[in-house]
Amino acid sequence: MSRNIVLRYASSWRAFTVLCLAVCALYMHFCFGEDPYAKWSSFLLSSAVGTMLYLCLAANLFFITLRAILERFGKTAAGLDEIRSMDTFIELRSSGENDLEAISEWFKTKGFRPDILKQGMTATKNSFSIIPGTVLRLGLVIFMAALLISVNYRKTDERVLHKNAPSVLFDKDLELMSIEHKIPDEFLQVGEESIFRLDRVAARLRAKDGVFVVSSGYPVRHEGVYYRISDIGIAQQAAITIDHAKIADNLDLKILPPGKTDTVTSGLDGTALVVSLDPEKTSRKGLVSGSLYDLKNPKYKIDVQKNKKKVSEFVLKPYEKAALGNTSVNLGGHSFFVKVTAVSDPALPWLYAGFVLIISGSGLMLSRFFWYEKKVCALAHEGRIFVGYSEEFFKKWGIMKFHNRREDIESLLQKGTTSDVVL
Amino acid sequence: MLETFIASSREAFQCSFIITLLLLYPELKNRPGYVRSLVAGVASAFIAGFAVGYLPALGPNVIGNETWVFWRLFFDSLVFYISVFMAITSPGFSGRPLSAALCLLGFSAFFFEARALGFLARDIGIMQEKVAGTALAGISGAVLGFVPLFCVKGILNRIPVEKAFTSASLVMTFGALRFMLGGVSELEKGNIVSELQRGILVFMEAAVRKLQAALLMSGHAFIKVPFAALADFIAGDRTALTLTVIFIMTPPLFILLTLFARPDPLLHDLEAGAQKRREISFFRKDLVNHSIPALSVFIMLTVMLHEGNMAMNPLYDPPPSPVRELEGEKVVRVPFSDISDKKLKKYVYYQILFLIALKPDGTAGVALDQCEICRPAKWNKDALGYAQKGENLICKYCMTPIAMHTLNNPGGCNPIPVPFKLEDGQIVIEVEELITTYKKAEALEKKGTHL
Repeated sequence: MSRNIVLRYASSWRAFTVLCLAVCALYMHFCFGEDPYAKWSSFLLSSAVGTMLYLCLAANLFFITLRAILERFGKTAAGLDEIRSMDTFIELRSSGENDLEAISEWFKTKGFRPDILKQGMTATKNSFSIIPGTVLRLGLVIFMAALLISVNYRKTDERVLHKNAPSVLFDKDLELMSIEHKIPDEFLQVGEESIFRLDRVAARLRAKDGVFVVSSGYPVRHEGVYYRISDIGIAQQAAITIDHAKIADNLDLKILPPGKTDTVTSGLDGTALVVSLDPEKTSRKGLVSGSLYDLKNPKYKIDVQKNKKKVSEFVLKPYEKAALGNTSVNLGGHSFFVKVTAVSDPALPWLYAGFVLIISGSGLMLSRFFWYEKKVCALAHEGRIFVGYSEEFFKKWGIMKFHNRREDIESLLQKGTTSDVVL
Repeated sequence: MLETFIASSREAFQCSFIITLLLLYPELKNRPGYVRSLVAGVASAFIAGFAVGYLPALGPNVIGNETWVFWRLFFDSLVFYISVFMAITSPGFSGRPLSAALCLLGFSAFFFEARALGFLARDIGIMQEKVAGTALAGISGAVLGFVPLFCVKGILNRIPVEKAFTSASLVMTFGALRFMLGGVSELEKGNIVSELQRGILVFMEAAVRKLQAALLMSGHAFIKVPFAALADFIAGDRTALTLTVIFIMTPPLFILLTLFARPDPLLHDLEAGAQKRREISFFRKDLVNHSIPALSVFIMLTVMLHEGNMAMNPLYDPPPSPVRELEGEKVVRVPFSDISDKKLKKYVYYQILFLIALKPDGTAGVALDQCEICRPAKWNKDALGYAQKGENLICKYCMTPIAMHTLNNPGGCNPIPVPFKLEDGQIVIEVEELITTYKKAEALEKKGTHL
């Protein structure tokens, strides 16, 4: 009995509403400070009280799903009180012992699945309409549980990989064999906003046990670690000196898309290099301007800054060198580099599973407009037959339809009604 | 002083209009106890609110204005959504609980406006050096605003409100009217639509980016990532607007739905055709009458949506928020997070209007809300300054687009830059520099228009 009460409270929609309101109130509390989302999610997923609240919400959703399934498919005899609490019911004079069979046969022809128990009959239609809600809620439960594990157990590592240069990610020796990309040799930028787009970037990596390909799309699993390319840029060999002191050599430049600048800090105090791609040609027609960039043999604009003031400016191509005052720049060859993110996370597949279920469940929920349960219960009691009817949604039309069918049910029993009640 | 008087009487009149609506409800009509509770709520709201706004010792500093707007919108939303709860559960309480609820309702109907009026009276009083006079003007204006309510009380009593309102639809209408009329326009124009949309946008953007990171699918500036377009859509303006619309339209739609979902009367037992027709006619009339509040609120909120949104006017021109220096400081501080949603923000320091926006490179731009060229005529003063359209600022007078990244650059159609610095996530503007820049701008010989 007490177990039932616990289950009823744990699976109640009221508890769900209260928990959701508590979570919303927490967010509002954090809204009065900086970066409310980060603080809110950190509180929910990392603090003791927040985690308890979060777990209660997940558990509540799980029990709601469990109770919905049990109620939908649990076989219970239709009692008189249950019939009276349905959307509507009618009371008829019994004509004999086979009344319930006759009614159940009739509803069977209307697509219901009748089930005759001891004294009563229960017939349902569209019982599986529970699927969309179940999928959605289970998706949420799985995602929430996986997120909690992920936040607490995920380990992330990120490295810039150059071709044929060995690197270590999560104590695993890796070597970048090749990069696949479709960066054009020439790129024409029109207008202010960048129109530079790349469909996919992939890289072949060699590990101890073989070669595998990672891309900028879905993460790839290798030996329990997930890999994904998170960025691509230009690796430029360079030797830059100020007063004969080398301030930078090989530069990993994040200067894509063309127009973007990258700041490289040097070993010297207050000295920095601001690098960007310089267009080969710029033209303007009316309000629209266009810039042509050579990405095969890029031209760099390098500003040398000291204490945020420009000291000198160089515009050079690979294998060119120049000197201005005490600053000299000597460029070598260039290639592309990729930045690879590696993640060790036991919950990542579950995060994806939950995400897919949430998306599928949300899509399926649209079907609930026309896919909902209809239920008929009939009971023989003291020489009378009570027939109750209810629908999950659109009850008004359900009640009207049921009463329109009343004459058919009456004719089945070959008797008149004594009363009808609408609740 | 006149400004304070007009603002006070207007706000009091608006409040009395909402209170009248409540007083017309049959449960309250001719029940002096309930009426007294409601009036006591309004009166205490006026006294408490005006005192908090007027007396610096009681009210927080001016930066807190946005917080007050937040709480006003929060309480109005709460009342608005209580109507849904009432439509579901039909609570039938009376006596002391109802008196207390009415007192609270009356309090929430005027407290926030009274606070803003108190603040306005003090602010104008300091500027005009007539602190006591403006306070008196504010109080007398508020008292005068309630006079029409007493004058038309007898006429209003004859209106059969009970035919149209249920308790749920009355509370819903109260909430919707508060959304429409709440706030003092001279000081704060915190519209539920724009504020909620902004809040949802910030939340959705952060949530979607975190979700992408959790799935190891973070978006990229130029590499195509699966579902990135969907993520950008969900984290964008349109979704925020959709959710805002859902939020403000749910109560009227829900109440309308509960009305229309009522089963038709069962007429099997009725023999006479005339009786059946009478039953049906009564049912339909009742349905139509009870739909009036929900439909009116629906129309009202639709108008508000268009008013508050860029759907009709693609220019985003936010109302300015008042800012002042903190005690003991000679600088104005604005949190950098205010502009994190990439929307233009405007502020007013006494009479100096200035704007702050996030530039595409992630830095802030601060400028006066005027340029060196345009000065619209007095009758057209609403055309002064800038609004936002996508990535550009637009001069409202000559409609010239200004690229956002050129903010802080002086000259031409660009807004006049104001020096500032960043300190601990705050944009810090020296008051002296702000005043000097403003005075220089005012001294410029503007040509009126270059069109």
